[in-house]
Amino acid sequence: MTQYRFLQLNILLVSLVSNQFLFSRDKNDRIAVSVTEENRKKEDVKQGAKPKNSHISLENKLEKKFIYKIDKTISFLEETRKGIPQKSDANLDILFRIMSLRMEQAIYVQNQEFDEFDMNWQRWESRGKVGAEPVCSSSKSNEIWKNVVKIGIGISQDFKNNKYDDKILFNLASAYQYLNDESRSIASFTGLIEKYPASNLVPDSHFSIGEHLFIRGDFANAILHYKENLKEKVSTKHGWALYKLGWCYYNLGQYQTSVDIWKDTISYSKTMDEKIGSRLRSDVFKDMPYSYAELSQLNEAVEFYTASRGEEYLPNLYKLMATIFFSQGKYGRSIFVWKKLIQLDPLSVDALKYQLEIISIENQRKNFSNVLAENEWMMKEYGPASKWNAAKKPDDPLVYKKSIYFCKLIHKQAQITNDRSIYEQAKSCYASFLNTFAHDKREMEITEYMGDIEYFLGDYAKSGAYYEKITVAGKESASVYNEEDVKVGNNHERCAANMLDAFNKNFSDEFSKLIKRPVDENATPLKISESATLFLTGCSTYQKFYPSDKKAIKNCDLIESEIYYRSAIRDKAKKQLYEIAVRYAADKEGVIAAENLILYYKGDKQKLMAVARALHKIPAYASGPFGDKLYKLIRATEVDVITSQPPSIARGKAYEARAHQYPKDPDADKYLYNAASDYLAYGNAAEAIRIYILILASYPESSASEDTLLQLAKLQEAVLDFSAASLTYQRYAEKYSSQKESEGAYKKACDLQMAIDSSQSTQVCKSFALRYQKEEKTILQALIVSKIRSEKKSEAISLLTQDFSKYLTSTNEKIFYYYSLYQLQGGADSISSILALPQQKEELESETVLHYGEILFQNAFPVVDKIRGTVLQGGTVEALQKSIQKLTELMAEADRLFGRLLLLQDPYWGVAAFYELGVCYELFAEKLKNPPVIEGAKPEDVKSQLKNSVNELQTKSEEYYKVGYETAEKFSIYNEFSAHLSYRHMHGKGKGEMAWWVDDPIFFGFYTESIRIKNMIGGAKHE
Amino acid sequence: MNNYLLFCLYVLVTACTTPSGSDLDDAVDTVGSIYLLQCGVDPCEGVQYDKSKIQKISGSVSTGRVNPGEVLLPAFAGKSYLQVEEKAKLIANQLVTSKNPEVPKEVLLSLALSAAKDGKKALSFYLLDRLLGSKNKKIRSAAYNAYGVGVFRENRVMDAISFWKKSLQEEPENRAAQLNLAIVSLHNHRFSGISDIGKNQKNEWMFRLLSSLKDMEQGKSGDAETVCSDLLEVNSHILVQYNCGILLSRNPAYKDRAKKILLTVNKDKKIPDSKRKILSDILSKL
Repeated sequence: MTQYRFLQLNILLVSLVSNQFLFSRDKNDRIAVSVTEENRKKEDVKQGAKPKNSHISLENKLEKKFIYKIDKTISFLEETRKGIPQKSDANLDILFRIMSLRMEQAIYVQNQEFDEFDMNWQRWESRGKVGAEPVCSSSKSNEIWKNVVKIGIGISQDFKNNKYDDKILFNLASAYQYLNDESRSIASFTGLIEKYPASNLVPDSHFSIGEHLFIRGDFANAILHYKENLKEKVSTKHGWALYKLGWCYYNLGQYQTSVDIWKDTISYSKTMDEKIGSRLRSDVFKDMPYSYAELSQLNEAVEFYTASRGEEYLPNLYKLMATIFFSQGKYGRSIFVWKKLIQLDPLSVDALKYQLEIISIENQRKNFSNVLAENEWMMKEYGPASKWNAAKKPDDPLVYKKSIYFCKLIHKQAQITNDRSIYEQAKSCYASFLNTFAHDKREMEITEYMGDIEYFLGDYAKSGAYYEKITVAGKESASVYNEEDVKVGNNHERCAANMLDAFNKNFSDEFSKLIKRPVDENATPLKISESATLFLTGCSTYQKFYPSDKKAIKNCDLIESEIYYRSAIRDKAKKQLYEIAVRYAADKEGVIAAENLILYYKGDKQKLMAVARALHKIPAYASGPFGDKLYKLIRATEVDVITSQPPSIARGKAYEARAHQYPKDPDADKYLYNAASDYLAYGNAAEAIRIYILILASYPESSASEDTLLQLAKLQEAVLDFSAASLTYQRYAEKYSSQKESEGAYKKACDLQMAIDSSQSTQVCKSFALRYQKEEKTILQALIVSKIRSEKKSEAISLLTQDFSKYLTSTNEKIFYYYSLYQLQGGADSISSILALPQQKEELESETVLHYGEILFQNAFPVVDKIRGTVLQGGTVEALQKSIQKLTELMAEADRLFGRLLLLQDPYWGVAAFYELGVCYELFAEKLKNPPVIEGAKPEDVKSQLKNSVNELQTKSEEYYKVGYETAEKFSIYNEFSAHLSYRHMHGKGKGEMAWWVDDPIFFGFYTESIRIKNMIGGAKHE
Repeated sequence: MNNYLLFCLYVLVTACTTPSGSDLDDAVDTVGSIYLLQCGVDPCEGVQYDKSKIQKISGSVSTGRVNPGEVLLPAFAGKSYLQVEEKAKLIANQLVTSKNPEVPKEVLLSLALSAAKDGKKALSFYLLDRLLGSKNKKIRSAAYNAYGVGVFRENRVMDAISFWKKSLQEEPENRAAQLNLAIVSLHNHRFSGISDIGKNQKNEWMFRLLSSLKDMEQGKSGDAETVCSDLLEVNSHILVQYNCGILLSRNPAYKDRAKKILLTVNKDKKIPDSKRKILSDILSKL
């Protein structure tokens, strides 16, 4: 009955030989590092290298307080001029004055326009250069300049060769210059030089022509004009001419010359007005680095600056030189200069910027180890805990922003190159970042990066640990920010999944080996490994946050189950298998778990039963193939538990209870059958009968029905309930008529019915006879005999006449028939019918012979009485002879009738026939021996005459007696005739009368009283 | 197994093995009860039983010991078929098991005899038929004896004799069969048939009586009257009174005594009508 073996051990992870694909993160599935690399452009330093013209123009700048009144003054002068003759000197003076005022006004307005442009530019630039690039509008100043030109031309036309002519030409040239009318400007300056070579405006005119040529890029000719200017030290432009001359040589690639000229410029500036001179020095100090850079003369430059009291311009020197070195591709020198710059003032505000320049350059040249080092340096020196930061509050966001920026750059580069060393650097960078900015909002984001790096470095345990940290921190903490620090997402779910994946991969190789471990009852428990523990912990953590991720949790559950199972940690394996079986009841894994679980309990039937019952209560396992298996298992186990009990009445009750509890159990009938067997085995036949009846009533289609029915019949018979047994035998015989036991059962039913003399015996036995017709005659005979015994005459007669009468073919059958009728109802007809049977040699049954003989005897016996009653007639001889003749005839009749009886050759009735013949002859002899009186004859004579006949008759009589006696002795015949013959033999005469006092003997075996009597004798004790 | 109680079911009817009159009286007075005997290892052949259950059935427990196998004649003496059947069914329900699928033959024999006694011929023959196949020769012997009585009642004397002889073949010392055969032999004047019967039981009154009758019938001097006279001194049982009353009536010397005895017998309700008619005839002649 046990059905454990229907379950085969299965690997829970049905389709897998390892766990490595359960959490399928592709190795290329890397996190996207959110960083946009800022491309650093090399500045075209030469293109930007130009003199500061604004400082030159400023020389002409008027005090505002005067300029405010220019328009009012010009109006006044115009009003004044109305009253003055046009050609007059006064008018000339006034017009020249107006021209000069307009020129000053133009310069002022133009400066305003420059200022406004500068402001717009700065604003535009500070706003990210959004929108149209600002344009410097010179419309207002141009109108004024045009007015200047108009005034100047008017004066020149109205006042030829006037006293202001060189000045007017100079002003016109300047106006044309500002109006970008280069040719007229140069023509005016050239006209002035030529027309008025002694004018003190000539040097400045050369300077201006030099400026025109400088702008045009004609540095060689510009040099000539600048040098013409330099010949006259009185020129206000002398210093500027030197400055521009240096630029001309710079632009011509004569860097050392330019350096030298600028050095002279510095020296000259010290002779100038301090205010203007300092401005010039400033410009020179700022511009000299271009040439020094081209000459790579950092030390010389520093030395010069220091010697020239230009220390304040060293930072600029460094910055410019670093920038130029960078633009020249001299990254190392650039970095060196930046570092020099930082060393100048490590705590300066700009130190951070310089450090960023360094990191950028290192990044530019893909030297990520240095990027890392410089970035870490930046975090250390400018981070929240740095002196630099302490001196400059609040925290500069740039450190934070740039440090993570560069970490990401490294990380991104690692992803591009798959360079393990770069990954390591990125990892180190992130670690430094997290150390620097503890509890930062990006901590989870950075941690994910680190997990990602470890994952692709193949250290899955560490990777999982990073992801686990994020997972454990919770969803709220796992925010992701963009570069503008705007929260743009959450990485918790991704990290949780990656945690599982990492721990899973970490455990993968070990697990692949583990699941190949054969496990049986004797398997030694293994300690759960560190990798397995990590995985299980990860699963637990994941499930806490993502309980609805059925797939992942399921995989966790399955692997956990396999771990415990394969490690032979049985208690946990059982628990886990049960949970899987419950949780995934709808899946094949649930079924497999359930099956494996059951295997665990195969040695403990009680627990197995409890587990199987619990599983079967789960809807998914309540039906279907597995449900059916479970049901059968439960059933089998329950039955096993019962079966394993020692046979007893109690076990029988258990079987019966089982059947009552599950009446629809396919084997319920068998349980009842077993119950009955136990009841019967232990002496409770009545209970066994009750159960058999219950089986037949409740489970008529049971395969055990046949056997049950037959057993019931036998048991009922055994406990002496013959009536019930008979009916049950009949029921069996009819229901299972094709079975070999059927005939015997039916015969038993019939026999029992006859035995108990049931009113149904005829019906039952005739039904039996009808089915087994070859037995019909025998059955009818037995039935008739039983009816006769029970004195149910009418039934017996009916059976004889209506049923048995069709079998009257043999003498045996006929004699049985007629003899039985004779017994039942008497009548001559039956006797006649028997007597009419032809006396032929036929093998008759002993019973038939007895009956036949009895009838023949009955038929013959009256002749004895006739002989006995016949009286010899006396009187006459004729009368005597006639009566003797009559007796003789009777004797002949006796001989014939008894002779027929003797032909049967049956000793029982033969003895009777011999005896009666002896009696007949003896009677005849006696009658002749004492004849009646014959008239006329003496009695002695009559007797004498008859004597011979008497002797013959007596002799014959004795012969019959003798043969009869001998026959009785020979065949041990016990009947009244043998008794008479014995008596005669003993006494020589007379009839052996029956001991009448015992003619109806009280036989032994029925009465015990006689035995008690004996005891009284033996014990001499009165009752 | 040693701790199991074994019991043997015996019908306590035969005198030869009954240890004392007192025990026998108990047996008879508690007709229908079953005596439980705590047998030793040998020679009890019985069924393992739970004593308490058997007690429940019987209501009477004896601790006496009887040698099993000797006592085979029917129990429930003098009880009707219905009485015997009731008890027999109780016994059968307890004793019939899968290992012992039939009621003990002794019980079946008792039932057969009570059936015969109550005129249930068919049932009696049916049960006896089953007993004829018993493995226990004493049971077989008893069954043959009873069968003989049954067929004798159907005037099948020869068959009856044959059964009794078979009974004695099975168990030569079956006293009942011996007596039955002796009586029928005497009845049929077949003295040779009874010459050997009871030769080893000279002290038993019935054999002594039969022997005397045989001698008398054979013209020998017998002591039948003496036997009866002695017997009646100590036993007033109806059977003794009936037979001896008739026997003594044939001797004028005992005529008065015989009349007195037979009148007493004639008043007994147990006497069947057929015998009562014989008694009336005899009494009318005395």
